[in-house]
Amino acid sequence: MTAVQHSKSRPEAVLGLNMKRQRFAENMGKYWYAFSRNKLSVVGLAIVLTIVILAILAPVVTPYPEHAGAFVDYDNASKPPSRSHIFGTDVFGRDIFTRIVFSFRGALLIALVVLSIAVPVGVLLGLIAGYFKGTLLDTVIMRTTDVFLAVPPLILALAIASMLKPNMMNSMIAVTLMWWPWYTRIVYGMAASCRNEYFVIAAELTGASKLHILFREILPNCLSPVFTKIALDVGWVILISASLSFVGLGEQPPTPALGQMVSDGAKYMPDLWWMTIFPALAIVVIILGFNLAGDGLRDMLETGVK
Amino acid sequence: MDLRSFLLRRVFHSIFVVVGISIVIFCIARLVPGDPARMALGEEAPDEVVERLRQEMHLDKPIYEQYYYWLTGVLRGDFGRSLVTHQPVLQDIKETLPATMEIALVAGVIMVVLSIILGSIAAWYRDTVIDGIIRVMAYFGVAIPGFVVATVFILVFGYYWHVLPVLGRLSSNISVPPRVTGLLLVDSLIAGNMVAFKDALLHLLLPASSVAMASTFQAARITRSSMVDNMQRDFVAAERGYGIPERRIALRYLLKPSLIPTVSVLGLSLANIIETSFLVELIFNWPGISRYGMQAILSKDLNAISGVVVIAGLGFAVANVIVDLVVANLDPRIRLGGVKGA
Amino acid sequence: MPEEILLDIKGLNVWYRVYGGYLKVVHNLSLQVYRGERVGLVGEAGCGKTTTMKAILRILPESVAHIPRGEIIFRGRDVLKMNRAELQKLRSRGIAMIFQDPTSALNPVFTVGEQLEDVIRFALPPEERQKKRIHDIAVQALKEVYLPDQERILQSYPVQLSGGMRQRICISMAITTPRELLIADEPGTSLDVTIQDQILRLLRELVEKHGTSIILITHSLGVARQMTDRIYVMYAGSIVEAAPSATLFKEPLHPYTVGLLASVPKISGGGIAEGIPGRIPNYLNPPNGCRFQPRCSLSDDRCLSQSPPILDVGGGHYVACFRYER
Repeated sequence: MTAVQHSKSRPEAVLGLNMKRQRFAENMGKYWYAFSRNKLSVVGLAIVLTIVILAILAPVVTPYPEHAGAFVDYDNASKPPSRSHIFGTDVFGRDIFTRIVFSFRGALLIALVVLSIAVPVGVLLGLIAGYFKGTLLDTVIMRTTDVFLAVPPLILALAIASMLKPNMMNSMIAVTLMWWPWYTRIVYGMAASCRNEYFVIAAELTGASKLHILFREILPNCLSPVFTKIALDVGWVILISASLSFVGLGEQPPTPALGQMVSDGAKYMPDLWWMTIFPALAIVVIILGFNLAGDGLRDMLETGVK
Repeated sequence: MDLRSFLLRRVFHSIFVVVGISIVIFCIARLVPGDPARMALGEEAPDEVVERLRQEMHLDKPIYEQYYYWLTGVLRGDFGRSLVTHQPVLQDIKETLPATMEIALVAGVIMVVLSIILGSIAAWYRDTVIDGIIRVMAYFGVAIPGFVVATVFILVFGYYWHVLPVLGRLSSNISVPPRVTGLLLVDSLIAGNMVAFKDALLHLLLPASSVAMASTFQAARITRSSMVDNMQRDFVAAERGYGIPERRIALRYLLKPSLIPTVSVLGLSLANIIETSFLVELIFNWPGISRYGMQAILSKDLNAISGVVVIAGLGFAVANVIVDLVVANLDPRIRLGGVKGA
Repeated sequence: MPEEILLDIKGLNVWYRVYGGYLKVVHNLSLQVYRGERVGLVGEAGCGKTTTMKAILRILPESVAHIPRGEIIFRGRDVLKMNRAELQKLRSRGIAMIFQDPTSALNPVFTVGEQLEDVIRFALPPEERQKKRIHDIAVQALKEVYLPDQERILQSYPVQLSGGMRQRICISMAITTPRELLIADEPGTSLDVTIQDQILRLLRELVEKHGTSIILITHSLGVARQMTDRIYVMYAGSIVEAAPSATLFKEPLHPYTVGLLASVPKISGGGIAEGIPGRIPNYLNPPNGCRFQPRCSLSDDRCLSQSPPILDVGGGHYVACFRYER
């Protein structure tokens, strides 16, 4: 008995995990069916993949990669869309299309960094608070979460970003600080209800460690809404970071960022409308893509595979 | 749990949250590098003057004592002076808040009315072309950031299509009604000045629509799905089966339960309204608290930033209590939850 | 035996549109109710009883339910061809349905009074719709179902009342004004047994008092035997057997009925009831011939390919099975 208690790879847990993997593989076809049932999800996925590939291959696929920085060519400045500059050029003669594609990199990077910090932190806090529901730990974590949830995230992010130096790094810090509570809230509810399920009680009775219970028993049962939220959040993080860069608190020139390009262009409206409209469209398309794909993922995880 | 204790709990929770926000913002403001007293007085001020101000501002005390002084000040309405306007922050807030509330109120009305209408139409004509059009509109509406909407509005209405005014709160040729509430709509009504009322309303339409856009479409989608959900409930079949006319079912028995999730979502999107209006006021040159806050943020005016964030949190908390009240009023299950009939 | 046919369903088919085709739930169903008659409709869960009853009132969800063939004749008029005004009249004067689950059949955000009085309002001719009169009828309706303290109940929300009270309110809604036919969909099954018994007694009393015809849907053969004159046995969307109640219990003919009777635990003991192996067929692609064939131990090749006709075996006893052809 004691040997089983202390052994790290308890047979039933490993079996459970393997069976889950196998079932997952069997279900891949079904997952795709559930996801693609809504054609809009497929469109969203296509947009997302296109943007990701464009961002990764930006130096190769853009016509003027050198325009992504401090480049000046007054001969070609303020040109409307044409064959050589499909989205036109800005007042420094830089190709707008090139700058948009390069700013996808920043947008995706922010989303990646923010979520890869905020999600684990939020999930971990939610797990702990849920498992220790009713204790002081739960109270402290969840009340803190309430406070952070009650401030409009953009405003606090603005305040934080402004007090630090306005740059990409700090706007990521600011957005990350605002983002974890949502995950804590989601996981908390699920963990608290799992807490009283028989599989958790059974694990406790067999003497499994707290770590095992938290990460192997409870966590896997909380993941599906977390994944859905991640998919939908990519769009929102990009939106908030675009808003920050719109007021000058994100990526600093000459590095391009979508929000910054919109606000720069707004000064030259309506004559140089392409300086504003194309970056604005790019923001809409990127958010739309992630929202649609996220909706599809939700359909898939919630209703897809029975 | 009856309605009163429900409300009390919500109010208590809100107070707790606002105090929490004040701690967070206070910590951020104090942890920022730089000496607030020096920043307030400028580079040239002699050291002993700065030192005296440091003592006045209790900056020589430990941070929790500083918080105590700051909080008691805030509770008396004293946020300190703004570094930009050199006025007390509270005074600035009093001057700018009504303009923002006006946008928020009109945005709220647009949001409620439009989302219910669009959502109901989509539900009623579900799986038809009309539903499809509304759905696509909703996808785009949710994905377009408020500042993009505002920028496009300015482009369209400011330069090409002069139907609606794009700048300020009133046209320059119209006399400002005497200030009573600070809300131009209300003040012009009190003064009986219908010309000013109409002008103020027209000026509000574009900024308020920009603010309301994303939330409207989100709420419309929620309304649609809750309505479709309710349409398949037995109570609707029963009401039809007992001979209640379709129109009455749609406008009464179906609408009311379907509004509950809509109102709850509107409560959640309040945060979104507040933050969108931050950027939108900037673009429309609207003399509201958001523009004031943005200026404070861009010029690192700590007192003003703290004031604005606390006010934003407070506004959010108050609005949430109101939403809770509305939901409790719509839904007896919340109002009476737990009360079992004898 | 009463003479006048009140309700005559002829060859009714109801399909539900789903992803990938139609669920052909109700299949060539025929059923008659005579004036003043108490009819039982018995069958497993999911066999289409409720769907058929909702079709009679045309309250199936229009976006998914489709009726490709069939007639529902009520007092000589086809319900499926009625216009809005006629339907309104049918629902407020002709037929009323008592729903299975009183919790979901009452609107949670309106008081009992608001709902009950609205039902009464639209059942009355426009000139009689005075507030006082409507209220009096509502109070009277609650009295009829033996609910005390009517004024308080009228001001209550469903969430404030117990399950038994809600079921009584559902019944009161169906009897506010006199109707000719009452459809009771498993009344009280969601409640505990003693309350269910009270509800059934109440129903029987009301039906006798007003001389209303009733279709009682139930999956309990015992209840059907106590409460009804005649029983229809339904399987997978079709009637498989119909007979006067006593005859059916004495002499069940269809293999499904036999199985159903055998699966009732006997008070006298004798081991566990037998039950019927298998389950209701997939409605997306139902079997070509007899829908019971896959579960029937007596089936042959003909059952695979042909639908059995409804055979008259005399004495008002009908059965849909090839075994009784002469």
